[in-house]
Parts: sequence; C-alpha cells; structure tokens
Amino acid sequence: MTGTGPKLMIGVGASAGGLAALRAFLAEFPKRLGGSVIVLQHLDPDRESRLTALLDKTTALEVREAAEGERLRPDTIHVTPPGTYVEIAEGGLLRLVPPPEDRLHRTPIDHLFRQIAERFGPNAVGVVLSGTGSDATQGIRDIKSAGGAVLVQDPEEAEFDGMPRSAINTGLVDHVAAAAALPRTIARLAQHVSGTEPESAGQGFAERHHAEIGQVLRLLNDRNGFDFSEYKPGTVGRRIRRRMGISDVDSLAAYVELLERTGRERELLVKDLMIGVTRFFRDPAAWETIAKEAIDPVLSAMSDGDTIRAWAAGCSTGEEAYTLGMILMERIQRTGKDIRPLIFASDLNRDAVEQARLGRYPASAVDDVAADRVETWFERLGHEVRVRPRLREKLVFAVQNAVSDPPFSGLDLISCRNLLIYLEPSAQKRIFETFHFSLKPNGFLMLGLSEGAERADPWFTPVDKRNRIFRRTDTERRMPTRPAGRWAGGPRAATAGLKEEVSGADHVVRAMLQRFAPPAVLVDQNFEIKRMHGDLKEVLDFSSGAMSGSLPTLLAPPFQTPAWSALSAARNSNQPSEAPVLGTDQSGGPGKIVVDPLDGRSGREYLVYFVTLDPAATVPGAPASQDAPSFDYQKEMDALRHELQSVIEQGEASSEELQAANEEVLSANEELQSSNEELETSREELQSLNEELSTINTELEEKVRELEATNDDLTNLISSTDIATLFLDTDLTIRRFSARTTELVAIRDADVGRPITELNFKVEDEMLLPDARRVLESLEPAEREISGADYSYLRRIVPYRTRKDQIQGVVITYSDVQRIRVASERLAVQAVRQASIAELSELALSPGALDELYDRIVNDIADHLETRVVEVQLLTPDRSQFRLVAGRGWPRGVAGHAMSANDPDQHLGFTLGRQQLVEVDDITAEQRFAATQILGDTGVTCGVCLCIGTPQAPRGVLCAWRDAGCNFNEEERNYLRTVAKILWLAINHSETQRLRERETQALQDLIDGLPVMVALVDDGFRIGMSNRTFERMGLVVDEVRNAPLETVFGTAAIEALRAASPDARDGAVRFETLLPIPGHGERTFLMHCAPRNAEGRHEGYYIAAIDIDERKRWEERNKVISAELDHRVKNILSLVNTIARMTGRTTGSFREFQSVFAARIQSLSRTHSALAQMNWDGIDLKRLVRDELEAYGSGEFNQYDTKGPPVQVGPAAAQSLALAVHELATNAAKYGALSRPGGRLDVAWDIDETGLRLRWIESGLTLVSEPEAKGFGSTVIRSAVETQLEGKMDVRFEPSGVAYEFSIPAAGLTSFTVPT
Amino acid sequence: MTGRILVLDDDPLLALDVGTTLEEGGFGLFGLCHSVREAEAMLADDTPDAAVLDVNLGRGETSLPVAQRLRELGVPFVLLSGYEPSAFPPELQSAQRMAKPFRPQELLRTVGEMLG
Repeated sequence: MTGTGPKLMIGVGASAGGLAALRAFLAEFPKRLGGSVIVLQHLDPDRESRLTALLDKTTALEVREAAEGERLRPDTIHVTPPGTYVEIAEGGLLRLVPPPEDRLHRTPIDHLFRQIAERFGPNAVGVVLSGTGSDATQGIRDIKSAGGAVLVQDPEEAEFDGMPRSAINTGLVDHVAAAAALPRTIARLAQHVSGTEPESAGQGFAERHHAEIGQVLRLLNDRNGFDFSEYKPGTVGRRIRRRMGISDVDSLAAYVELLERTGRERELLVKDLMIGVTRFFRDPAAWETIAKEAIDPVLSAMSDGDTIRAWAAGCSTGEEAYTLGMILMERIQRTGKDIRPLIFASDLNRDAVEQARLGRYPASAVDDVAADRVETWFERLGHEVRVRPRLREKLVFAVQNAVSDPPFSGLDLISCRNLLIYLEPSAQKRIFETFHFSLKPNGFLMLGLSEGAERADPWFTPVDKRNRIFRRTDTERRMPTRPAGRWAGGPRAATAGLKEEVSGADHVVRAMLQRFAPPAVLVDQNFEIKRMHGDLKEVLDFSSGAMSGSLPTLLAPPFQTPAWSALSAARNSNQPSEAPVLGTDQSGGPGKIVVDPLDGRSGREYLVYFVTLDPAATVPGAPASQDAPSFDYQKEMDALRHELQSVIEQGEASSEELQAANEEVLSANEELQSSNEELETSREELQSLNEELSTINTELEEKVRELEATNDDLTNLISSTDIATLFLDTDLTIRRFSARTTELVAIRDADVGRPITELNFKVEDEMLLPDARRVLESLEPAEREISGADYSYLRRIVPYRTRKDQIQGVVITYSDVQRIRVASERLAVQAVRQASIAELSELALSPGALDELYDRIVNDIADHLETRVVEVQLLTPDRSQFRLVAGRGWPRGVAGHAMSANDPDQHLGFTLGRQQLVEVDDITAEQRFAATQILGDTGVTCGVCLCIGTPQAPRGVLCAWRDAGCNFNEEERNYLRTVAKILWLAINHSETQRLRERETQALQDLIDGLPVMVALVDDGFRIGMSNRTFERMGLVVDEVRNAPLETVFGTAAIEALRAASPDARDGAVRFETLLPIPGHGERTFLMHCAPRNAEGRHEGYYIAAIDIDERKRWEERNKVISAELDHRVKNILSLVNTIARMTGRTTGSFREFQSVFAARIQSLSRTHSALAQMNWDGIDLKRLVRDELEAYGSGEFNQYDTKGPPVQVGPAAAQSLALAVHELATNAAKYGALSRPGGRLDVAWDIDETGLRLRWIESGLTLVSEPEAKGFGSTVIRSAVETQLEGKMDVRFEPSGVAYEFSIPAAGLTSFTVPT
Repeated sequence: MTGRILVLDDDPLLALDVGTTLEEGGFGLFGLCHSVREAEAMLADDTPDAAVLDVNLGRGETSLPVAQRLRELGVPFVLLSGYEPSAFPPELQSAQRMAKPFRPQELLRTVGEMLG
C-alpha cells in the first residue's frame, strides 16, 4: 500500500460537538501532505447531511462525500455519508457497508480505525475529536497494535469530552492537543514516514544510529527498568522515529536529551515499544522462575482431585495465557498428582479475545519455542499452528475489564503481564485491590518484567523482585471499591459503629438500641441531618423561617448552644466531645450532648447523642439545693462563657461558611459567564447555520429551475418521439402518454387519470395488463412482440423508478418493428440462399462430386426459389445436343437421360451463348423461341434461363420454371446467376482435373518407359514421383512413393548423394556407385542428381540412376583384349621368326625355303582366321583338320576322309594342333598318302571323359620307310602334342603307310590362353 | 663346351628355336623344358651354368619358382618375354630381360656375358 497509495492514512472520528472541532482541525490541515483523510462524524442515519458542503468551506483541500467503489485520493478529505460504515478494499477502494442492526452497538469510528489499521499499519493515524460515549476507544487499540499513531483533541477544549477522555484512558494515545494543533503533529509524522517502507526505514535508521539507539535503550533500562535490548532494531528504530515526530524533535541526540529530561516521554516510548509484542514464552527465564517460585509451591500444597485456578488478566491475543497453561500443565505432570488446571483469560479487546479463542497463530509465532514444546502443544496446519485441544480446553476466555468489571475469585495464580504499564496510578491501585480480593491467601501474582510494583503494597509482598513475583499479604480480604457512577447503587464498605438498617442489623440489637440508647442524630460535616434515632421530640424545635437541614438550628433553644460547641469541638479535634445541657422545663432536666466523629461515605460524619442525666448522677458532688443560687451562678457563668466561646466559634465558622459561599457564588458567576459565552457561540453558530440555510435555499431555487427545464425537455422528448409511450401508475391508471400512442389506443388528454382497462386498444394486446402487473411485482422489465396482419410492435414495459429508487408505476413503450420484421424475414431467406451458395461452392471444388452438385443445385433452386421445374442442360462434346444431367419436376426417367437438340429456335439453344439472363413470362406465348418438347410437357408457364459458361465457351443452360403469374426478383435472379457460375466453375474444375490426371498419367507412362530409374525427391530425399524402372530394385512404384531414398538405394549411395547435394543445388552432379540389384548382385550405376526449383524456391532434386554395368564390363574387356592382342601379335611374330629360322635350317634352297615357309605361314594364317571368326572362342576340330587338308586339295590325289564327333578346341591348342596337322599333311603330300595315286588318308577321332583320341592313318602305299632324320615337322608335331597338349603320340610306320595316334586329355584340348 | 644352358618356354617351337640358336652359337644345352614341373625335375639332378626363362608359361603359371631356385643355386638367368616387365611378378621385375621376338646375336651375346 505504501508504495503507490497515500503515505499517511488519517481517520478522523467525531461525535457531538464535532463540527467545530472538525472545522478547526481541517482549517489547519496541511495542503500537500500526500495522505488521505476519512472523516467520520456521528450523524443521524435517516437525514441527509450537508457536512461535506460545510467542511468544504473550511479547507483548500478537496472535500468529497465518500462513494462506493471510489478510490482514496491523496490530499483529499473523504466524508463518510450518514448511516454507513466505511471499509477500505484492496487498492484503496472505498466500500460503504450498512451498519449492524443493533443500534446500541454501532461504533463506526472503531470500525473505521480498524480498517485503516489493517490496511495501512504503521501509516495509520487515528484522530479523536469532541464527542460523548466511547466509540473510537477500541479502534485506538487496533491502530496502536498495527504500529500507527493516535492523536486526541484536548478534552478541556472539546465541547464534549467523553470520547476524548475515553480515548486517553486507554493509555495508548500518542499526543493530546487542541484540534487546531493536531494537524501540525500529523505533518511532522508525515515527514518521518514519507517516502519510505516502514520496516526497512526503521532498519536503515537503526543501522545508521546504532550508538544513539543504544543510548536510548540504556536510558530506558536504567531509569525505567525496561530492557528492550532484545527488540528488533527495525521496530525500535521505527517507534523512536515516530515519537521523535510527535515530540517535534529533529535529531536523535536531541531526543535522547528529551528522554533524559522528561519521565513522561520515557513512559510514552516504553508504551509504544510494548505494543503488539506479546508472544509465546516471552522472557523464558522469568517463566522458569514463576514455575519454580510460584507454581510449584501451590501445586505441592494440593492433593489429587484439586483444581488449580489461574487468571491471565489482559491476555491480548492469548499467547501469555496459553504459555501459562503450558507451564501449568507441564508442572502438574511433574508432580504426578491429579490436579486439574483452569485458566481464566481475559482482555478488554473483544477482537483479541476472539483471536485467542481460536488458538490459531502464524507458524512464525512459535519460532522461539522449544521444538518439543511445539510438538506437544501445537499442531501444524500449513502456514499456521493451532493450539491442541487438550491445552485449549483448559482455558476460559472472556471479554473483561480487569480494572472495573467484577473479578474472578478463589484463584491460586494471577498473571498480569504488561497491562499495568498502560494504566494510570489510581487504576493500578484499584487493580491490586482487585487481585488481592481474587486470590486465595498466599496466592501468587506475576507481573511483567518491566512493570513497577510500588503500588502493590500493602496487598502484595515481593517473592522475587527481579522477576516480579508477588505473594498476597494476609490483610483483610475486601471487595475492592469501584469507581463512582458505575457502581453507585451497589454495596459499599460499612463504617464501624453504625450499621445500616437495610444491611441486615439484628432486630434484637435494634430493640436494645430503642430501649437503652439515647436519642441520636447523624449529621454530616456541615451538620446537616442525615439520619435520626430514638425519641427526639424533646430536643427538636422547628421555628419559622427558611427551612434548613442543619441540626443546631433545628434544636430546641437549650440544646442549640451546647450542640454547636460539642459539634465544633468534635469537628476541630476529630475526637469525641461533649457539652452539658442545662435543665429546662421543656427538657425536663439537665443532660449532655455527646458527639462522636465517624468516617462516612462522603466524608466525615458526626453522631450526636442527647443524654438525659439523672440529677444526682449527672452532676456528682453538686451542692445542695440551698446552695443553689451560688451554684446556679457559677454554673450559669460557666455556661455563658462556654456559650460565648461557642458563639464566637460559631461566628468564625459562619464567617468561614460565608467565605465559602462567596467563593461558590463567584464560581457560579463564572459558570454563568461561561454559559453566556456558550450562548453567544451558539447564537453565532445559529447565525452561520442561517447563512447556510440561505445558501441552501438559493441552491434549491436553482435546482427548481433546472427541474422545470428538464421537465420541458422531457415533455418535448415525449411528444417528439416516434415511440408510443404510456406512463401508468401502480394502479395502472394513465399518467402521461406520447402522441404516437393514439395510433394504438383510442386515447385523449382527458383520459389521464383513467384506468388503462377502460381504454379501447386498436391492436391485439390482451397480455398488456398481466405483463404490467408482473413488472410491478418483479420489477424486471418485460418485452413482448405484438403483431397482427399489417402491424408489428415491440412492446416493452419497465418499472417507473424515482430518483430515490421508489417504484411509482410502469412505462410502456410500443416500438414499430413492422419494417424490421419484413426486413428480418427477407434477411432470413437471404441467409438460407447464402448458406446454399456457400455449400454449393464447397461442393463444386470437391473432387468427383459433380453429380452430387447437380442434384444439390436443382434441389436448392427448387426449394429456395419455389420453382416447380428445374433443368440443368449440358452440351454434348460435339455441341449438337443437350443432355438433361439433373432436374426437378420431371417425369420419372427423364432427368439424367433426356437429350434435346441444340436448336436456337428452342429455349435451350436460344439461351446458349447469351450473356443476359433470358426471362420468359409465358412460354406458350413466347415469340423468340419455343419450349423443348419435354419442357412443354411439364406445363410450366414462366421462368428464367441462363447460359452456363461464357458466351464464347458455353457449357449448357440452367433453367428454373414456375407455373404461373410470377416474377423473379433481383435477389432471386442473382442467386440463379451465382448458381450458374458455380456450375460453370465446377464443370471447368472437373475438366481441368481430368486433364491434369491424364497429363500426369502420360508423364508417368513416359518415365516408366525409360530404362533409367527416375525419381523426384524432396530436400530430405523422400521420394515423390518415381518410375516403374524401380521394379528392377525389387520394388513396385507404390512402395517407392514417400519412402526415403535410402530404403531403395541403400545408405552408401545416399551418403554420397547427400555429400554431393549442396553442389547439386547449383547444378547437376553425377557420380558412379554400386547398387545391389536383386538377382544380379551389385551393379554399377551412374547417379545423376539435379536441383528441382519451383517458382524460384528449392524443392528437392531429380534423381536418375542409369545402369552402366554392361558398359563397364565392355570397357574392362576391351582393355584386356587389346593387351592380349599386343601379346598375341608379338607371339605370332615370335613364332613366325622361329618358323623362319627353323625352316631356314631344314631347307636347301631359297626357293624351297620360300615355298615351305609360305605354306607354314598360310597354315598359321588359316588357323588365325578361323579362330578370329569364332571370336577366339575356339574352333571345331573337324574344320581345323579339313582346312589344313583342303590346302592341299588342289592336287589330284586328295583321297581323305574325316570322321568324328564335334570337338571344340581352344585357341592355343588349335594353333599347335593346326601346325601339327599342317606338318602331317605336308609330309603326306610330299611323301605319303596324298603324294601318289592309290594313297588314302583317314582321320578319325573320338572323345570321352578321359580326352580325345585322334588317329591319322595313311594307307594304300608301298615301301614306306621311317625317315632318317627328325625334321622340323616331327619336332613340331611332337612338341605340339606332348608339351602343349599334354598328350601322347604314337607313330607306326607300316609298309602301306604311316599311322599316328594321339591321345590328348580334355584339359589340354580346351586350354584357352585369353584370360577372362 | 662353353657352358650348359637351361631353356624354359611353354611354346615348344620357341624353346626349340632358342635351344638351336644357342647350340649354333656354340653353347651347350642343359635341357629344353616347357613347364615349372619339368624344369624343377631337371634341376633336381644337375645344375646348369646359365638359363633362359620365358616368364608366362600359360594357364596362369609363371617361371618365378624356377627363377627363385636358380637364384638359390647362384645360376645366372635372363628372362625372355613379350610382356613388359610391369606385368611380371614383383620378384622378377629387377631381373635381366630380353624382348620377344629375340635377335639371335643379342641372345648369344647376353648368354655369353652371363657365363663370362
């Protein structure tokens, strides 16, 4: 609150005589304080107050009557309205609440002070001004408990001092001064709290002035015996600052000086410091001593079944009382006896007692209490602790004033800690008496550590002075005296000697007194008769003159003088005295007057006895009768002297009395003078009141003028308004009506005052009276629609409220809503059509819903336009005919099937391609065109046709037909236009969709045909579109869609792609990779990755995977082949070289060399050609043999035959074998079977798993001899067969010819030197 | 006899040609062989003075084992091959080489140098 709200919150309470005090107070109130003021003046709740206006004149500050929900404003005086209680809600919002029902206990100032104490704490200031009663007293405690300040008007100054005195009697008041002087104190307070948080301010202050505060605390300890060194520095600092503010001291040093000088200031500071510091186990050492010194002795004297009774007086919020309870119970437990504790706890503060009863405290309250005690006596409830029931039930709480209310009695212990310090000395004395009365003999009294006990004597003697423990002394136990007034009718202490008859004196004693006691009179110190006893008729004598109660003046003359003298003597000496009375005729003999002084209730009293003496006895030793004259002389002289003396004394007394009377008169005069002054003041007040009344009168006149103007305005308003208005009173008679009312009711000005029931209504409104009565009962406005064929009114009835919230009838208004009704109906129709269009549009864009759309369209048109026949006719693709795709009102089987020619002389053909909508009033009379056959059959007459689509590209015609006599309005025509547009849109949309699907399919087909895997992937390499080539990967297209590319190509390929993809954003990248192809192992693919951008945005990539495995293989093979070719050529050349050299060695002539060498080279060449023809895969044995033999086929002797199964011979083997066969053939041609007629050569072979066996058998020769030398040929044959083919050769020379047999294993035969 | 020469070539004609050329040049012939197996059999009985080895013996076989054996025996040898040395087994890449087809004088000079 302090951060943003007012700095100080000042509550001012005043009662009787408060106006003057308030004026004086506010006149001096500082202008820029920053704080807010709430003024509460006791006022008659039933009367309007002008207090705000009156106060406004006294101060420059804003004065405003507090209003519900208003925010507190700085430097503003908020005046509480009469009969309300003010409360302050969160955020400084004012709340006005009704006071409690109980009039006797209305204490609004208490309430206000409590509110500001709760909300503003240390910043709360309570000001108590003139008034009677004790309102504000309780509130002061609240403000002080919260740390606030309380200022009180000086009771001497106040017109009525009751309230200020009651406030001062609390002992909690910070400052007492004249009303006009109080604002200065407030200003000083404001300076000391301004702009700072209270706690931190105190803290900071305490830190800065550690030394001086130490000085202050020492002072309080040394001089007053209070030790506050344990107090929080923040609290001490704050309280010291406030006292400084109130005392008008600027520096702490000056304040220390003030404290040293004045005991009063020390006391006030002590009280300030004591406030609100009660807590559990305050002064633990003291409690320990109390337990030992007071409780234990009491308990030890008790036995089982006893009750120990204790009283915690001034228990505040109960902490002390509960502490006492805990200690008692702990000590009882220690004794082991069955003793019941009973603790009375009382306080004056009702709220505090309420809180104590609850026994709930913030958890921080037990912070200083030993943990085991907390565990034993409290239960924790969140942030609170609650006293356990077994302790709580031992305590009895009561609201009680220890000083003035009847006390508890029969007590063993009384704990009254820190109550006395707030009490005046006389009250302290009384309270000690009370405690003495309440305690049993030897009972104990415990006081607070800081409380002096000088006044305890003689009722109490100290047991432990340091810890303030006292024992009751054994003096007489007396009911303590009570302050006058409250107990005026109650019993009092009786004085010894004279018992009040009513007090129950024994009748025997009374009788004895009657018999033996002399007559007596009791007088007061002025000798006024107070009571008489016995027979006094002889001593009393009533003479004429003013009636007086003074005893001496009422006595018979002989008694007068002695009575004066005896009474005077008794009064002066305060001792019993007596005076002789001479015998008289009347008195019948001598006697004496004895006066006994007594202590009476209102001062000294005197008991006067009239004793009649036996002459002998009374005057012992008196002379005989003959000596009577001398005796009489002497005696009379004595008596005269005596009398003179008493007269003199009496005269002196009279003089004193006169002096006193004079004093009294003088004071009476003064009183009269002051009364006169008061009257003068009253007169002045009356004068000012008179002035105020004149002002009010002027204001009222102004108000009347305003009212007249308002009235005129109202009259004009009512007559000008278009709304028929009727004012009825509570009996429903007419009070006023507006001009328009005549349209509804037959009403004239003369009808004012007539009951409404007598009027004739032109409209049907039979519910008017019930409605009006209901409004009067419920006070809730009522509305009803009154409508007939051509009218429609909204009739509204509201209660007629006066400014004072009284109901004085009803106001009935009829608003013409006919146009609104028509419009709203039209609107409803339009809304339905809008909704229809919205739904149709949505349907138009849904794929594949075209047929549903046609049906909806015809149904919607039929329903919303109330047309009987609807047709949606679409052109066939060749535009020659219309097809009725959907319709309403057609014979069964027509809609959806019927075809009509596109004939411009018929309504469909006519409409087609027309921008404008074609309206037909009567189709039978139409000149422009005729109806189609099927339309003519429906019998409709009029309608509208529109072209679907643009005139350039029409799609069809939409028509709606009615039976007769109808026009389509603009809105309906617009609806139809829109529907036609939607149709066109839907048809186009669907066609576009179909086209796109077809294109997409074509594209898919195209890429499916590619031998390359093609896919579109997004940035995350998730596959979008792909082609069927992916099936090679063992996947179908549908599986590939949306799959991550990894699942298709494997992680490695994708890693490579990802690595390359940043580059691929700018341009295509390509690289080779191995992909596993099901059934083919890994194959080499060329990956091609190109960025895919759409509208300038990167969307992903095109991926193409081309199988280049075959190509790779061919490249490898080519490399091998070319290397092999090089080798082979070299080999061949090497062979040729060898053949040349060897041929050279075996031939004689160059010619011979030439022919043999050429033949050998040709054989070599033949084999080569044959092998090359066979792609170096090998050569068939038969061809090899025949080729070599055919080379000699040009001769005439070529009888040879070859026979054997097909045998494939590898290239290397083929060369060797060919050479061998060449040499055999050459030999045969030269020397053998082929060299002469009759020779025959048979070459035969067979083959099995062991290998090839070839036989070369020449026959038909004679005289064949073995050649002598091995030539080149035989070397070649042998080495070819044996080394190269790993075979064996067997030669037999027969006379008829040579025979060779070769065995060649299969391995040698197929040897293939070209590496794969 | 001026030294006996071992000739190893899978092509019997070539082996014969080399052998004949060496004999005509005045060298003695230790033997003609056409496979590692044959050569090793010959080397088991006797040791030549020098050798002429073809490298690629067909069917994946090379003369490497024979060359190693000759190195062990301290017999000098020359490789006779149509292939480039880069196609030889690594152990033979530093050995003395002659290209096929050979020139008789060069062969005789090389063998003579090996023996000399």
